[in-house]
Amino acid sequence: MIHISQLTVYYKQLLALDDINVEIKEGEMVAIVGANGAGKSTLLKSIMGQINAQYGQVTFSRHGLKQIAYLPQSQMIERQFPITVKEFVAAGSWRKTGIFKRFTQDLLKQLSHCLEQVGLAQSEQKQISELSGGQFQRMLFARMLMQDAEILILDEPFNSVDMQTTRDLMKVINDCHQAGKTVIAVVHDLPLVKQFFPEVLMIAKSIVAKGPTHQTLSENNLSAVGFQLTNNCIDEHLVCEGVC
Amino acid sequence: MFDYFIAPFSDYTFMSRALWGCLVLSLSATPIGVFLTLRKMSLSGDAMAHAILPGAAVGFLVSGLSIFAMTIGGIVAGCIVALLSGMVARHSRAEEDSSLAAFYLLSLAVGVLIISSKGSNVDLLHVLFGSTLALNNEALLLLSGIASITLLVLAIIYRALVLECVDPAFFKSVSRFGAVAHYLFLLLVVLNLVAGFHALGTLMSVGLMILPAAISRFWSNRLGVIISLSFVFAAISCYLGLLLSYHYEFATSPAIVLVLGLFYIASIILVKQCGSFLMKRASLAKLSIEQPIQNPSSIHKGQSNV
Repeated sequence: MIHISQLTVYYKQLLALDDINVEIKEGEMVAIVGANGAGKSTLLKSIMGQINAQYGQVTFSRHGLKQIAYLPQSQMIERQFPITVKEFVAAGSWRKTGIFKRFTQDLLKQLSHCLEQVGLAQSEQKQISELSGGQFQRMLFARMLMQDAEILILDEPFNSVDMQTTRDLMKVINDCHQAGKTVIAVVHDLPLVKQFFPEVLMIAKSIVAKGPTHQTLSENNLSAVGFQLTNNCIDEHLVCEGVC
Repeated sequence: MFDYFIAPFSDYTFMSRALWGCLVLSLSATPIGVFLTLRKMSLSGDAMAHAILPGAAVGFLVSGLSIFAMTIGGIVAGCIVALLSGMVARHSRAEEDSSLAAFYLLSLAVGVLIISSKGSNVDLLHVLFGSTLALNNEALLLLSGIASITLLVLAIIYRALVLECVDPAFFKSVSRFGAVAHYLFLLLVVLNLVAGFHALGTLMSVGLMILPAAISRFWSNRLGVIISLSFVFAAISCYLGLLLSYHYEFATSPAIVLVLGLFYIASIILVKQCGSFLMKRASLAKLSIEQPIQNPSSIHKGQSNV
């Protein structure tokens, strides 16, 4: 279980998270929903211990930080760096190989398996700069799978990818969830949240609501986090921010 | 032929020493340059090259043209400026590039002021443009030592440095070694700039770092190949630059950097030409494959007409 209590984070004088209290149980699959600047990415970074909170703490009852696999936003990655898909995905095994250890046959098999799972088996020798947006996202998923962790943290994993890629990658997440892993993802696509995520956490610097998706994703809560949407809007895939 | 290309190095010790010094420097400075360009820190490297001047000047004040005093002074000044500019960027509203520019301009001014007030113009020229043709045993030992340390440290941090360059957010989530790798890398930059300033001077030393990396980036998209090619381009340029300097009495370090500049311009032109040639070939090959599938009837008509 991940226990977050009274978490408060400031960036210089700017309040990013205000008194967050929440528990995420083992094996849960939670979508974090909120408008831009609501503190979603800050919450993820706080869970991973990358940000020092001014107040409050994050504790793990069983798995520690070493059991977290992180999928960052793709725009934070240097796409022109001369590195192949295989080398990029292999970075997922850093905790096993570190600075010096060699890549074993088992890890190579695992790497091939991860690439197959996301449909990139034929592209392992390609440079990452040659990949399309969808292929790039698949590669990030392969690296996350390579980490073989119990808690998966995904920051906007479906940004700028087509429907087919979203479906394929959603299947990968579902398989991980079925295997008992905890999944926490920042997702903007509300129909996707409604269709696939059993739990939702809605934030606007502080927590607005947390619970089963069909109950929590109500008009009132959506309005409170900055979305002016109706459930019809969500069902009709008319997802937008503040104008629907 | 022999007299022109080989004899200067076999007949004169100062030329063979200069070549040895430049090759050793190329061996360590080029991989550093490759990572600097890939991290989009080329200008930071240039700024730090200028920043080591006041340290070297203080070393010069204390013990004249002593290699070790100027080296230690340069390293201390380079590290201070790298750290200070980072701190100013973090704790004030100034951007890192403007704070780096401010510090290096200040450092350059202080350095030139100290040397010109206490030494001669010759000393100032020595520090600014190096003394490639006057490398003694001490200087060669220093360059070899710095090259050995650089290659060893780079081998240790290589994997971490690559991950830190490609995806710092991910690397931060799996390891705390990213910051260590970053600061060790900055230390290597300063060390190599200090080594470079003995051979090529503070103003030119960064050229041997950045230009080979920029040239190689045109020719390959494999990191290992880019690093190897950078060394090859740097080594050839040092050799040709020294020859030009010997035969035509050009200043040595600008001659080396100018040869690198010619390679750079040639690469821009050649890669553009090769690129369009290869694209034409690829599109022709694509056409010859696709034509019978896309429009078999038109081909048939064409044949009957003939």
